[in-house]
Amino acid sequence: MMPLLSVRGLTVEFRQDRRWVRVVDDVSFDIRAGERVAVVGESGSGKSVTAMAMLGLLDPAGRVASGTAHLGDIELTGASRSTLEDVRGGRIAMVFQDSLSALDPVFTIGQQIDSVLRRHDPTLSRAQRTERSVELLTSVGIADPLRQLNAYPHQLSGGMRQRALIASALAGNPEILIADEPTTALDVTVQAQVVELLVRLAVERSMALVLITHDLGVVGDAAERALVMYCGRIVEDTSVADLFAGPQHPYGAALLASIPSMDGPRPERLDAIPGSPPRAGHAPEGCAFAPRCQYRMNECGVEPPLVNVASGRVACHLPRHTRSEMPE
Amino acid sequence: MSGLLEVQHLVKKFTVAVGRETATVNAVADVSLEVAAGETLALVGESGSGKTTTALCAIGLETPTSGTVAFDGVDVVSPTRAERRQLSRRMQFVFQDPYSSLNPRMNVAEIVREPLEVHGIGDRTDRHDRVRDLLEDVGLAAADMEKYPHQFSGGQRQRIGIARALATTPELLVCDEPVSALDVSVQAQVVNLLCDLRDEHGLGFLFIAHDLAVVRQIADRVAVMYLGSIVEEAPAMDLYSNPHHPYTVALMSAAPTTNRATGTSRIVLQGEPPSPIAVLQGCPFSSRCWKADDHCRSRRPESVEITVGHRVACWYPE
Repeated sequence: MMPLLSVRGLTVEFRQDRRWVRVVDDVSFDIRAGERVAVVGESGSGKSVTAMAMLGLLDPAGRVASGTAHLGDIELTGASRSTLEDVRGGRIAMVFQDSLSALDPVFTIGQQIDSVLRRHDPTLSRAQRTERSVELLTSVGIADPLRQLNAYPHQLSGGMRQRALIASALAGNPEILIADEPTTALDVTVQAQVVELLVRLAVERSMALVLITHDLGVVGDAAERALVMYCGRIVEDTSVADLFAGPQHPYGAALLASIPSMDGPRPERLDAIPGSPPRAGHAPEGCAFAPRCQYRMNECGVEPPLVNVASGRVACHLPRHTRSEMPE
Repeated sequence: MSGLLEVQHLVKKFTVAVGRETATVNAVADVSLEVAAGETLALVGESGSGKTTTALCAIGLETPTSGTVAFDGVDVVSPTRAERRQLSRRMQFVFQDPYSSLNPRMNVAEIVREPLEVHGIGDRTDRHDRVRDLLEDVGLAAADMEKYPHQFSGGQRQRIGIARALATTPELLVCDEPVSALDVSVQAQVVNLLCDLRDEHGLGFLFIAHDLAVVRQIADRVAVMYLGSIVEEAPAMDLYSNPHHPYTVALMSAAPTTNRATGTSRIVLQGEPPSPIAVLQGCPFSSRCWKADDHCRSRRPESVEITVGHRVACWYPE
């Protein structure tokens, strides 16, 4: 089956101190219809920039240096403004972390959903649009939707605002919903509600969900597949089950080991990863994780390619499946 | 065991403008807690639960509306000048955001040395040596002394903040979400560092966090706050294995985890915490609790000790 979205060799650079700094480096992946994929990484790993570059939403200081992103037949990276405007909010919709700044404060929730409906289906009558808006608010679990259509963003709580934002994203009937840290600003109990909602909507609508997050816990609750990013590159592409069972890449493994557990005996100390992630443009030669990696060896001075393995893809000279063959 | 820090019946109300009217926010409603010397008490709760306000009152940075706060017998609410000086030396604060809590125009040596100068500790040479030792304690190099905050990563900046807090050899460190702004791969380092420092220096911690897994790693005791009240308080490991308050149960169930046993169903609470502006009768959690009945909605449950050191304020504990 042909993938819905196909990204090949995407490389994004930002202007910094009068030179171009590579922020996303040769990223390739496919998203299939209805698939739930988490893009996991720390700040500066390039996970959000990848999404923004695909949708033509890069900051003016950034540019797509090379690579392509195809949505079916449409080439997104070189597309005209009008093509991109049709795609955004239409076939691909996006939900952001900060719902207060993502919604326009001077328009009601109803007006904002209405504008999306009007943009993507001009044939709808006013009454049909209101009916659709009510349906959308109901589907995201907003009680008393008719009344909430008249609410302004500041009148809603954080969780309700995030739901309203999701509703407006769904208005164009997207095939892909990209959610960038959608729960990070929310409280733990509300976070669980929103994650559950996103998963339910993706399943009900056979919509692909691309969840950008730094939180491995959220990955487990929301996604089937994970792309792990480090310093602008995909270092691992795997099923979430395999990721939690034992990542191929030492970065994922070290990250999982460093997170304190909610049960079992309490260790004296956590297995911390030494050092900190390199800043954009300051990546070391070769594998960017090597300086922090417990399996570092001479070969790591050469950048490992992202190659196919049984569990998916991994960019490491010494992935887990080869380590287990070695004597301990 | 008498506490190093003793908070009794703390109440803190704020007046806020709501349109043209004013309203009262009940940020902290009758909180009592105790931190013994060398002990780590964690305050856990969601935003608006009053955990930060409680900590600010405890350290004297906010004036309580009513209630008492005592540090080693000294009144924190209205200390004399001399007492205030002494308190600010013995209690220190580590902030959440290592980017905004350090003065960008001061280099690391100046930042860490400042509390020593304020309190007149040591002479010039002593201070220089002390700064070098402190930086070494938190895992920074002496070569970093001349650098400025922007030259460091988030984790290193938090280390600078910790070194500054330790400069006056405090007995109590109040840490407000000290790792939540840090990169995931760096959090464990800082958690380990705090544990090491506590053990080496016999520090008491009032540790504020929303991340239950981090709290489990570091705390001796945990107090769970909801809407300005402590709803449950227990020795850490006891709380995680036997949560009694429905809110604690839900909070633990909602926490994202990478090792959830398959097949365990999780409790997803409906709604969000009510506004602390609303005047509440009955149990603060009753509007979201699956067990709540009319009794819960009309009468506020008292905190009751269920097992040793494990207190819960609920009419129908789990």
